[in-house]
Amino acid sequence: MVSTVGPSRRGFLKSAASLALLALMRPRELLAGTAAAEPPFEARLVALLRRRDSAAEIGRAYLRSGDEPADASAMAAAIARDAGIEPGEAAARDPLRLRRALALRTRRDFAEGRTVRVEGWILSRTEARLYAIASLI
Amino acid sequence: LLLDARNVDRDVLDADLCIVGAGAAGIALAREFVARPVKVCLLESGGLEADDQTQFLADGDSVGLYYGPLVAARLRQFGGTTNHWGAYCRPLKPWDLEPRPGVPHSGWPIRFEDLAPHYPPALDVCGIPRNEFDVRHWRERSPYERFPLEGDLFEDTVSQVVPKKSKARFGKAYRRDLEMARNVDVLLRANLLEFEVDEYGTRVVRARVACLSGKRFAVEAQHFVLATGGIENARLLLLSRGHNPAGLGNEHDLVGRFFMEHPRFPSAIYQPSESGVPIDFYKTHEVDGAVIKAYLTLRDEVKTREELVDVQLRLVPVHDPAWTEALDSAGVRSAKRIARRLRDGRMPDDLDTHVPNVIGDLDDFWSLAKMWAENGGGPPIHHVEVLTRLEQTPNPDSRVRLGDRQDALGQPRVQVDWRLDPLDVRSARRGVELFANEVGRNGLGRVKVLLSDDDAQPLTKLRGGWHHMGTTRMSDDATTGVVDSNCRVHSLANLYVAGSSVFPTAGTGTPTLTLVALALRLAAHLKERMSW
Repeated sequence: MVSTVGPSRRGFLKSAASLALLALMRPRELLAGTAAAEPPFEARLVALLRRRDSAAEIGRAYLRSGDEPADASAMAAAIARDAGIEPGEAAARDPLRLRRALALRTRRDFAEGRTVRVEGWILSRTEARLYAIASLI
Repeated sequence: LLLDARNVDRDVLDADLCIVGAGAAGIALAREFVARPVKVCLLESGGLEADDQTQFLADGDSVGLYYGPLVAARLRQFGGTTNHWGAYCRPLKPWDLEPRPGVPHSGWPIRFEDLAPHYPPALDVCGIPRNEFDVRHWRERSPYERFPLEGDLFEDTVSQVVPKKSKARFGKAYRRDLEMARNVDVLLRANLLEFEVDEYGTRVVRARVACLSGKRFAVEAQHFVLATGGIENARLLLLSRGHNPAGLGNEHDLVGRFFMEHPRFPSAIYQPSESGVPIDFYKTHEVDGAVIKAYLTLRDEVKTREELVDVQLRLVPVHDPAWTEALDSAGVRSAKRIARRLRDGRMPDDLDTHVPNVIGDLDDFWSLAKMWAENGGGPPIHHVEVLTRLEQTPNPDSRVRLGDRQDALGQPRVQVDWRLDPLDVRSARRGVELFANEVGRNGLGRVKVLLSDDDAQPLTKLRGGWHHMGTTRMSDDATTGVVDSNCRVHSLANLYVAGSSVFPTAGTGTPTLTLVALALRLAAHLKERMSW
């Protein structure tokens, strides 16, 4: 049966509403954080999230499953590898292009069955890692 | 003619054809013999209207998965359960009749082509105006867009609903046909106690009948058809123990086994990525004078590849709480009441209360209009409940048997032991997992699966559809089925079964249309036999 451990259903619904965060973010919001000195790749990934708190809540639940070590750098590297991104290159510094690459990878995860189940929610492996990073940094 | 069995003044009545049960199957069958040179006796347990004493004969015990009150599972009155059915109709698909890999006991002994010619007249009997179940036809004409789930895993499937309830109630729709028929005697308040067979046990010679008033008599006929529903058909065969203590047609311990339902339960929560996602195509709505309802179903190739039973998903929107709250305000409720009264051509008598309510809650009207507009001309959806309906795996341990309690006629009541197979749970879970993947792949949102990973776990909020099927299943082999492909009980030359109890598998569509089609097919077979 559905576990009652972890975020409440209401919390998850709120979180889930942000699951389309990558697709829904507006360019202006994405560009907002890019003027300062270049943050690490993990931070750039998390900056894409519209509702970081909600994402982190899901991320914590994902990490509790034990499927992935709680290592933000390793997960960021895995995301970059799967999405075909080189963290140092220009594309990875451009939030719009980064967002597009992650959205594409996320959809491809679903198509290929690379999904995880977090408190019942079926998420792409890539987005689960992204949310887990949000809970760690 | 319509007759009250309590007034029968003979011990034995004669007929060419005796049909037991005046529900959808029995009435459809009897109508086929109106004005033919055949004397028909149609026995019905109830009267023209419901009465508690007769209805209580349907009571029994549920000893497996919870199966609601059996007393309400079937109506014992003229017209049977069509007196309150939902009137949804959908034919089986060719795939439904095929033997399928990984699905034990699947496969009908007849092909879809054998059944297909009987669907158009069955639609007519059921009151469905158009023989059209191609979803493309309805998509083109419906005012609503379909859910944009692209890909090759799911497809839309359409049911039609009888638009005029008066036609759906067989007792009302066909009473006059049978009342006026000189060759058909409908005996009301006549309960079958048992069938008696000849000394060889190969022919039914008479049906023993009792009224709750104490009256008893028999009907002798050349041919008998049992058409009392998926639970009662099995019970009455099991009660006919004169020749074989195990019951009639039960040489291989099959009568009552393979009881199937259409299990249904909430299986997922779908959170759309935007509130205006189109799902209205899946609600009951009118299109060109017909009433349709669509579902998402797994494509046949997917079910075959993954070795699953049929899975159907229904999308039910849950509106934004702000919308629901505004709709429930005193002002909006008052406005609705005023509008209803005005529509009926009357002025509300309590206007003094309602007008201040409306004025006081004007902000609610404003917020409703705003939400409607922001959502592209519809109520905002908070999330969507996904309800699954399954084709149940044929399971010999899911069964109907005689219980210990007795009814008012001194007969054992029924005991229903409804059980699911692990394949049912696996199919349900796989169905929503695939839906979740497709929703994600299409960028339509995310899905929370409510089902456990463990196939042995019970399904939460499990219900049936009051569809009783499989208990006298059809097979060409007497060791694997109770009736043959003509619905004749294997071991008896002149006893037939009509109704969904003969279904070996059931798809996910509602059974009434198919059981009526099978009854018409049986009528054609009997006409041929009786003209010998």
